[in-house]
Amino acid sequence: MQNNNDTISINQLIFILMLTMVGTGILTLPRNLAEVVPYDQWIILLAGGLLALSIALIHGSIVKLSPNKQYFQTLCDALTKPIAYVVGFAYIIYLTVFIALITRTFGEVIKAFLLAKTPIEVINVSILAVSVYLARRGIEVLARMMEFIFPIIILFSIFIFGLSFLESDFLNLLPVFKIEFNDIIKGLPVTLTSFVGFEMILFFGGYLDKPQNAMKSYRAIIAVLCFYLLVVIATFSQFGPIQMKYLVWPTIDLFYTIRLPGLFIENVQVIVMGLWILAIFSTIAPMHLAAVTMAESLTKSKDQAYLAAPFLPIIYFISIVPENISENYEMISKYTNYFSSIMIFVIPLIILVSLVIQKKLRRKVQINA
Amino acid sequence: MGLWEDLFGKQKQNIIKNKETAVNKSLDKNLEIIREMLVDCSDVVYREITIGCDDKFKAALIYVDGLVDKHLINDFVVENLMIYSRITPPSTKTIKKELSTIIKDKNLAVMEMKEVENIEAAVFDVLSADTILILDNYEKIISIGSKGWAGRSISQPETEAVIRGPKEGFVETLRFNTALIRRRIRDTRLKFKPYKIGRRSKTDVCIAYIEDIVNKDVLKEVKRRLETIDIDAIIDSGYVEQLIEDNWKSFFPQIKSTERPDVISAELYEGKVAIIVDNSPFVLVVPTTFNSMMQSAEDYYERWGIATFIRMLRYLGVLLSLYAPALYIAITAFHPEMLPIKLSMSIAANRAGVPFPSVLEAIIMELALEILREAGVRLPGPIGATIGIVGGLVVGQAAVEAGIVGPIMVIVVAVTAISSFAIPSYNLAIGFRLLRFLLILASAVLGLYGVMLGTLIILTNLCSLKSFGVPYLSPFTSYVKQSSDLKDTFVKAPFIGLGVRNTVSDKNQRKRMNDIRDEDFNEEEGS
Repeated sequence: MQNNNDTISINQLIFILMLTMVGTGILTLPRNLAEVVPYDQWIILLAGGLLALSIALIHGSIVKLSPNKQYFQTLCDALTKPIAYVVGFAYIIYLTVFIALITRTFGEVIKAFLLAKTPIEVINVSILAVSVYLARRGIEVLARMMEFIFPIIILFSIFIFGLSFLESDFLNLLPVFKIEFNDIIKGLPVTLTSFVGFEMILFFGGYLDKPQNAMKSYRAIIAVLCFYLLVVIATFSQFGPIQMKYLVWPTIDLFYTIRLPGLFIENVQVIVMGLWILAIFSTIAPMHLAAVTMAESLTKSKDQAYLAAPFLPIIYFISIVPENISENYEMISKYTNYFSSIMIFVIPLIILVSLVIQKKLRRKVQINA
Repeated sequence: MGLWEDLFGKQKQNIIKNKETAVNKSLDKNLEIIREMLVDCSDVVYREITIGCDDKFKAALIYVDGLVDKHLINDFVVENLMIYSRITPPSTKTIKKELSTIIKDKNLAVMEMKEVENIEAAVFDVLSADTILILDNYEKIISIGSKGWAGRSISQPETEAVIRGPKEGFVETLRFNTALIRRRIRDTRLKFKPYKIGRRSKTDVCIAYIEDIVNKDVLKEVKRRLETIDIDAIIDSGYVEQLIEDNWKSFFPQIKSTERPDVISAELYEGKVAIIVDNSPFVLVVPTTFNSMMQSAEDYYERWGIATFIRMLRYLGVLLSLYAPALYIAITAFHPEMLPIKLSMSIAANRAGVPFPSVLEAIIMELALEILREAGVRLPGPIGATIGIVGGLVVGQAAVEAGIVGPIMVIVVAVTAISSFAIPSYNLAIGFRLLRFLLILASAVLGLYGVMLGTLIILTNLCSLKSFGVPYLSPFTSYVKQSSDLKDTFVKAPFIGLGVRNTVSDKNQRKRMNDIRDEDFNEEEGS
């Protein structure tokens, strides 16, 4: 019986985190890695994963320290109210722009592979409209939806990646352990981009039924890390690092190489596109809802349903700002390098420090009293 | 509503006030009041009699013709009052005052009897098929239970036939239905809680549950929602269903209705609540999940292997009935490269002579199918079957030969129709029938992408539904928390694996079966 409205379990939160992360990274991660180093990409990935893991622990402890509180409330507690308003608004901008850039990428892919003649505007607006439909319904529906979608995505993608290994050449992965330390540092921002999405725990942590379990969210990072390792190994063993640099969407090109005799469907790219839509939707929708919850706290409104739709035109207009796909990618990388790292690393760190100090002080007061 | 009240004040409540008229001492006066209340009711029968050998005591019997068991009234009420009271002691002389007691205790040989104190209650009893006996000089009215109308006898449920399993179904009479359930649950903790709903119809509604297994929150919610119903009449359980369901905007039924007493009792044993409505053979079960709508009674009576296989086929049927035409449009109009080249070519060749775009083709055929189906339901049995054959074969063949639709489209429509009949719950199948058109339109505009978007919308809607607090898609949306519920979904575990109730039921009563058999029944002792 789950009668109580607006609470989710830690497992559901982990599902949300995993799916949010997967959508951001899966398409471009291999190419971005190939641009950094020609070999040992998986080491960078591991390092980036560890970094993400440590940040996730920061986020988890913030949720743990201020249980059952909306993120804005936490911001108020930690940074005083006026600053909290500024930071909260910055988060909304950050999420909005991020959704817009992802939507743009999504639209470009759909246009390239499914609907060549449909204007990209229609594609973008329609997926955003579905996202509004979900965001109006709140966190519980999102959590159930993500739990439902997760096995579908996982089963199909493991199946498809498995098929891709039939024709891959593992020599492409050689040599190993030749990477230099500087390259790892250089590659960290790239990998961190692929893990963007785990900050959702900040926005949804207030809905947890047992906030003391918030630290368990690290599992989401580990699961996604494993998935990315699979993706990276599959793509690099298929194409090799040199070819990879010139592929716009290496993961999708990977599926083009799959040819199975006797398969009812000529190419599995149809299934892939279906999965791709699911994956991106499950990235856009949580971020959309996070922005809506933040806006709800900022405006002190009681019903979030009405706040979902106004985001649509804003996101849409930002999404058509980049002239073309390469500009879009440039924006994403710059954006995540600077803005994201502030929003998901620097600010949470400050909050955590402030919360810990406050807790210590309070304890001292209690002891003195 | 709150705003409305602020602006315009409270709306006038249109409730008929319950007037209470005390029973008069004089029989004639009582009769006069009752006659006035039931004026122009030609189905009410009045019988004035005298009791005792010297015709000293006057009395009257009133009932509604056709509703009561006349045999019972004639043989055990009228005969006793009029004949035996004259020839058997005590004689009327010795009993001046306690006539009513004697009649009640010694004279009337009927089982159900009660006394009412006001005339309205007595008239209500008359209208609900009891017979009332009014005595002169007595301030109460005796109400004799004489319900005995002609009803449909228990027969095989037509909408939920099974090959193996009990062949009896619910009927329109509430009491027979509760009896059918009681026969399967001989437990003191099975409760039937009565309600009267409908200001005018005063329909008997009864909620059934097993006290210690039932989910208490659900039970409370059911009671609360039943009490909020304010309507003039309840004709069928469909009224109650639509008045208490969680989300009336959705296409999906959130309350399961069934004609089978075995299904109801199994659901009661799972901790659910049944709502039985008089005059309806369909009994409602809450809370209902999508999963339970995909189950059929027979799954539990047959071995687990075939049950699992059939359940998977049903889920496949859902997918086909929902997606087949939409995918056909998406493939032919947008992505012909999806299919193997030869198949793609043959579809294109078949469609070469068709003048319409594939979406129009699909809509024509789907609408024709829906009309045929509706026509088949309306027509009497044998003609209905003929319509199916004429419509399906002849019209389809002719349409293909005339070049209006392609042959593949006919196949797609036929597959859709057959698959939708594989869904065990009729009202769930209706939902998918409507959503199919949504997906057809979506795929006509945006191809495969549109189909996916439509899927996401449907999925969001399904995820947002709750039936009395239980998520509609559980356990598929909470398989981590309720992993034990997965044993009875698209996989049906072997019977011995179903030893634990669903998580809907009360926490302390989860275990229902102990496996105390030996490892192998065939193993010989001592060997």
